[in-house]
Amino acid sequence: MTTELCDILSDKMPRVVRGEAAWTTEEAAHLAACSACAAEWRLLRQASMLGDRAAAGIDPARLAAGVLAGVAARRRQDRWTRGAWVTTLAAAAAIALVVWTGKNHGGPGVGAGRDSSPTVTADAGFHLPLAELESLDSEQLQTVLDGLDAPVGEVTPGPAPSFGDLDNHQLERVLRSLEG
Amino acid sequence: MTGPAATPTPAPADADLVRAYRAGEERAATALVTRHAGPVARFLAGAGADSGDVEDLVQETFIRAFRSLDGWRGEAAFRSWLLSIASNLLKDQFRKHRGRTIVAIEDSDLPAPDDPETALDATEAERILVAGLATLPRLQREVFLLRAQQGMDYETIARTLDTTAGAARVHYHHAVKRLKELVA
Repeated sequence: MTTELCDILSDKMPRVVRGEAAWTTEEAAHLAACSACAAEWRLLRQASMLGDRAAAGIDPARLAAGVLAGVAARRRQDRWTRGAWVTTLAAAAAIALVVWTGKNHGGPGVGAGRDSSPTVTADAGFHLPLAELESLDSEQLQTVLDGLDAPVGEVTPGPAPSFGDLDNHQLERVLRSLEG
Repeated sequence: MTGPAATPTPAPADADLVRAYRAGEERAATALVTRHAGPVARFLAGAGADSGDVEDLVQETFIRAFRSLDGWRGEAAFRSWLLSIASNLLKDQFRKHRGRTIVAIEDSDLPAPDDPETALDATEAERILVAGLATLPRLQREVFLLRAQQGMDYETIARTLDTTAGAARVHYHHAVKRLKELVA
């Protein structure tokens, strides 16, 4: 039958088995007389020695080296996995952008092959908002376009234009455009 | 005149070693491994890990621990936290192998005492205990081992195995009752 002393001994056994506490005279007498407590005590003493051999066979220095190498290897693996994910996502985003651009600008986007209508052209509905060009007349725009069409090597680097090159009429237009 | 007597430097606390390791000092990791590898190995061996797997399991326990140090809040002792990782690792391994295998202790695994008769008795008793532990439910087995081998109180066991102190006490008493029947 379990008594209060049995509970006290049971609670104390792990510390006694580890040498962190000792039995009092009264507890030792109870342990000798109580078969239940004696059986539990035997169990704990046996169990406390389980695995001693396995622990003794481990070389801490070698184990620590293996642990550090393992941690480093997992970190490399993590970086590689993250890199692969980023590359995959970037490729997917690029493909999506190409498809989307093609659809909106009449390029060879998804479904372009099925649409036989030739009405979509490269410049249909395509606007590039450049406020600086709005105020130029046709002749001035043509000059700008000619300059853009010319190969880089053929463009003669003349003197940079300044307000001094403009006549009164042109200066008036520049001032008006600045004032809004 | 002689200088002041050299006082032994106290061993750094686990929390200090963890901080040092996180700051890039690998020697701190070596110190933590040296300090805790033995108890982790004994726990794994007692809990039924194959003797040939114990070192690998201990290594994997530390690798997982060092990779997830953010998960250690410092409230529980570092060893308790390691043992909870070891417990989960063992659980995963048993699940992977679809049920645990009872590992009988080989005679060569046991130390050879001077008296051959005593050695035989000890071997037999240990073999019966290991077999008995293997028949227990996981929580009963691990609660029993954490008390018997690590000397943990029920509150610490509860934190380690993610249960309550009351439940840990009940598991322990069930384990002792069952083992007494098997070993007696």
